[in-house]
Amino acid sequence: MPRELSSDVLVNIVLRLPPSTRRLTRLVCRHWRDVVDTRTAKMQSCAKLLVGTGEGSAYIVDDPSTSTGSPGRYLWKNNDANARPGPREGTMPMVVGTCNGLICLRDKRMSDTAITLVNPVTGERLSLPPLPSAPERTCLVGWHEAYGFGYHPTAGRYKIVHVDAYAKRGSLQQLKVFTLGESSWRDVATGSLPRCNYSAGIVGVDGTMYWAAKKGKKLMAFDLGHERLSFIKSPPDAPSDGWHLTEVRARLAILYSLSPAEKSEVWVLEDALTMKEHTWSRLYIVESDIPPHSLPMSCHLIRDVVSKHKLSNDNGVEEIHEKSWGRIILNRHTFAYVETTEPLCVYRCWSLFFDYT
Amino acid sequence: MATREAGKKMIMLKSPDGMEFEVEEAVAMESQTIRKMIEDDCADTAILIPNINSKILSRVIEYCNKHVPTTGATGAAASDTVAPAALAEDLKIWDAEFIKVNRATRFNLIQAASYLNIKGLLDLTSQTTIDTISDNSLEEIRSFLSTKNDYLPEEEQTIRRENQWAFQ
Repeated sequence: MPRELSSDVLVNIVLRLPPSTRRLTRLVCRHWRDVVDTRTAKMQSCAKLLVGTGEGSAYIVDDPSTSTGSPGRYLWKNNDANARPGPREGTMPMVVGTCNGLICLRDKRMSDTAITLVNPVTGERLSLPPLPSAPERTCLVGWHEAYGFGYHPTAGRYKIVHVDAYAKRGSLQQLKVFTLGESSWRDVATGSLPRCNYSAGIVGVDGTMYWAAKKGKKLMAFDLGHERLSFIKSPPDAPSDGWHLTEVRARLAILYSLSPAEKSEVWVLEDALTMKEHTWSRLYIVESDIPPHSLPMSCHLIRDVVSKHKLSNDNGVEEIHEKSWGRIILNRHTFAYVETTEPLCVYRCWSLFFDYT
Repeated sequence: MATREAGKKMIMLKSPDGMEFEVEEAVAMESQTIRKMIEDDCADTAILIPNINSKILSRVIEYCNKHVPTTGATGAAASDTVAPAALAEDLKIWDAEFIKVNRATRFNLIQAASYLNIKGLLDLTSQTTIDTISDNSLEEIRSFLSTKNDYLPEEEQTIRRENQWAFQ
């Protein structure tokens, strides 16, 4: 640009943009990025640990590296219906995912309730319309497991994806997508899909939603921009189950346990930009006395702790020998969360502000 | 100028392309920049407004005319009959019509509002731009701003990474 607009005018515009849009505009061109980086408040926001418990509570650990086992600040407790913007009485909201400070929630037990988005900083809350047809009973532990929450970094759109367990006879549409700002769920035709390994998780990373197939050591990658599906082979030596998908360093990561069971590995998906095929590289080997089944839950914590305990070996792989970090989050879901003022009211078209009805 | 009271002070604004606009002082003083000139006694007969052509300047004056506080004889009469809320609503509708201009004109209006320091007009023009940016994808924003993506693919990837909040 905007040669036509002076920097002062640009600053005036940039300062009024919601946080995620302001970040998005850094990609417009160098001039705009310079304005955003030099003339607005610090863009870095420190990631905190968001922990969702199996009972529908959620709390934040402000500095995971110094935490000594006590839960952090509670955002809401499942038995506290007054905790706004938390759950209502009798519900068990589970964290589906978090992007840009927005947290996506879905009740664990009720089959017909809707997705809710909250921003605990602003107190805004938004309920989405429910799925057009209630999903069939599946092997899910909780209904929230069938959803993923993602943000496309160049389209600037939030999307919630629902992965159906089984294709209905004659129907190949197992994916339903809801885009914030639109009024209803959409079917996305993808062809026949392998069954989803729900326990591995459905995660959105850098504009793509990933989930694992129950068999065949492969991953599905759904581009949230073009809404196209592709398949990715898992790391070569991956076991056939016990996977957990997560986000590490803004890349998709897969974590699994190896035998002996106290050893786990974290692999990250390399940029597809310069490579014709997807390749994986091993980021961490995790050694710990914590039961391996609880390890996947703590992957974000691993990332945060490891930055303070970097021990690179000859292969450039970082080993973790930290024994206390996992205990506080046993059997809980962890997410890297940032506190922002990202608004929800702009998507109000189908819902009322502070809709508690 | 039948509506104008005899004692009302007039100011001459000149655009660089030689057009002259006679406006009430109160209207011109909607611009903090001009207000300062007047208060500092820098404005004798005419004020030259650099960088703002007559087409844009006339639109700016149109905006100020509409938005000048309705005090004095004519204003009092108006507010006797119309509720303030209705007036505000009327102004909003008028603004929405006013800003229905092409991209180049809007950019010029932003520049003018910025230079002349007219807060209301700056808010209006900026907000319209923001609405456009917030509703569109990156490519649409670039085309709207008539700018080119000058990043290398690798740089773009790096910035995408940086842009993700959780990435530390």
